[in-house]
Amino acid sequence: MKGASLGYLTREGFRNIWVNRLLSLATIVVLISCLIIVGTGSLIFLNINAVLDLIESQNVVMVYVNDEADDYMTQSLGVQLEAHTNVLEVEFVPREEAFQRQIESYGDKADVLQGLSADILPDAYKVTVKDLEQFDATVSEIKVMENVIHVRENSDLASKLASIRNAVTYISIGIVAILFFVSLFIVSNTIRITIYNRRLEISIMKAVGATNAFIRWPFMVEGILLGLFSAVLGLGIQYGVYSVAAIWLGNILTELGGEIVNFLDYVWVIFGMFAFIGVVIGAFGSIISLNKYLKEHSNVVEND
Amino acid sequence: MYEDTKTKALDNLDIQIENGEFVFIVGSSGAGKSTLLKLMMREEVPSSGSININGYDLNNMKKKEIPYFRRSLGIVFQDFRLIQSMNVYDNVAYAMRVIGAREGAIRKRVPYLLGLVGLNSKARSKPNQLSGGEQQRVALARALANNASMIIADEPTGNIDPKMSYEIVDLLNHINSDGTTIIMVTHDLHLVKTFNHRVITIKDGVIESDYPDASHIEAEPYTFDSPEDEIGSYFLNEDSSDFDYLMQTYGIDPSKDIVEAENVDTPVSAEEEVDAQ
Repeated sequence: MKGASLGYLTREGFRNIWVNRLLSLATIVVLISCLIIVGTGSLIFLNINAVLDLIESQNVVMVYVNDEADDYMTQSLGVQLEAHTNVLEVEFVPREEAFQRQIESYGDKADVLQGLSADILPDAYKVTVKDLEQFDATVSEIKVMENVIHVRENSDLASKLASIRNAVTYISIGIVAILFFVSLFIVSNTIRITIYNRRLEISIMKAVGATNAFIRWPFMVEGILLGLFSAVLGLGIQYGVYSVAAIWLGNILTELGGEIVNFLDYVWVIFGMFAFIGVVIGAFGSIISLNKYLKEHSNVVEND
Repeated sequence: MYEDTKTKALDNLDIQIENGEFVFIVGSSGAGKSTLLKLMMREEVPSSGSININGYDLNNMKKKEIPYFRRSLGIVFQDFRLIQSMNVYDNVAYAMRVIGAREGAIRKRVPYLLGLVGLNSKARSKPNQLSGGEQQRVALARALANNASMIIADEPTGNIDPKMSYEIVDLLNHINSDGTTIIMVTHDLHLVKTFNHRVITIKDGVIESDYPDASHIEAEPYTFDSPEDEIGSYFLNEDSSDFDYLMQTYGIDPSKDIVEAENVDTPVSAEEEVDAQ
């Protein structure tokens, strides 16, 4: 295809959007609806992930240090723990602090601890694990470290959280994939109506000897442009919808000790996703519909 | 033969049309005229027999060759098939644009064609502002846009009154006199009688008759005055100030560029043969 022709056909794509503005608007509305459904699904996934992050960060492993270990040995253990690849955070909890917390946790009944000293408790490290899938292996490796007398952990909760995260991820991917194909189907049908509406132009193009690539190009440009318009408009609408939803969803997450994901932190990721989905659906929707149309209505001449 | 219904649309057809001929194809509805046109435009492939047009073997043609073959044809439809959202100039230019012609060539060629069909003063009009005859003239200019050596006209006068019909066929006659082959399907026997060219009659899918002129047609010829003073006058009369003005609006010097445009229109020598069963 020559450069001049490409320029003309691209301009045709723009012109067609304006000439067929009602159907273009219908396509944009359908595309935006699909993008917002996909976007909402993704934002729900991001928020569920944030909640899981929060819960995971609270699922810590307590590593108790041998009474016979001196300060140097205790610090060495701390360095060893920090160096572990699956450890996110290590916090030293001296026995005095632990004893004080015990007294506070007993409240009015703290009397039962009277006469006892902090020496009854060991020093400890509070360890946060990165990847819960590796939880059991990490705990086993910590257990064999020098001067570790005991490790308190909740592997059951860890495995449940890991399963939930996996399930949420797979379900989200599945839903987004299904919505993608549903959107493609709806948009290609909407575009099919615009193609049917312009069957005269197509028949003229075929009659004067336009190649299929020439016939397809303006429709593809149109589909891509409609996809991009929809992505920009959809992003704005998604932001509005999310801002409203954030007001009550934020309250629920605050109760859990977390906070709602900030839309602006993900604005480029969401725009990229919208633009990709919009452009792919717009372009493929056009091509699928046009190919189907060209197969079904290849006639240049009317019947007798 | 249509495979799905096992219907024979055309049978034992043997037609040879020489380069530069003007042929009327007549017949009642359902006789097979449109099927013949479909075969000639390579929309359909015959179940047996062969078709050769403009040096192309239509039976063994690859799909990607079809557009290039169609560029050697100019097709005119009964319903004009003009794009209502485009003006007259753009409707004609459209045929050139969709095959990748350069804007410079389009700016030269389209005013020339509009002059040829007597519509240069309507270049900026929309099709719905034109009469049926004028719309068909635009369609004819479009069919000529890509230097077709053969015009296939599928009942081009079917939607217009007799006077306009006469003008359209008179214009086709002009084009034919330059060497372009014309194949016109029509029901209007008065026109056939008036212009007195070769007549092929199709009935029930077979050739009923093939005469070199219309002397056997029992219909009265039209007696309108020659529209030559109106149609084609811009082409014939280079002194037309209206035409010069229009050409200048497209940045063309009529005294120089018209000659070039005329040369572009020289038909390619080719033999058209349709031999379908």
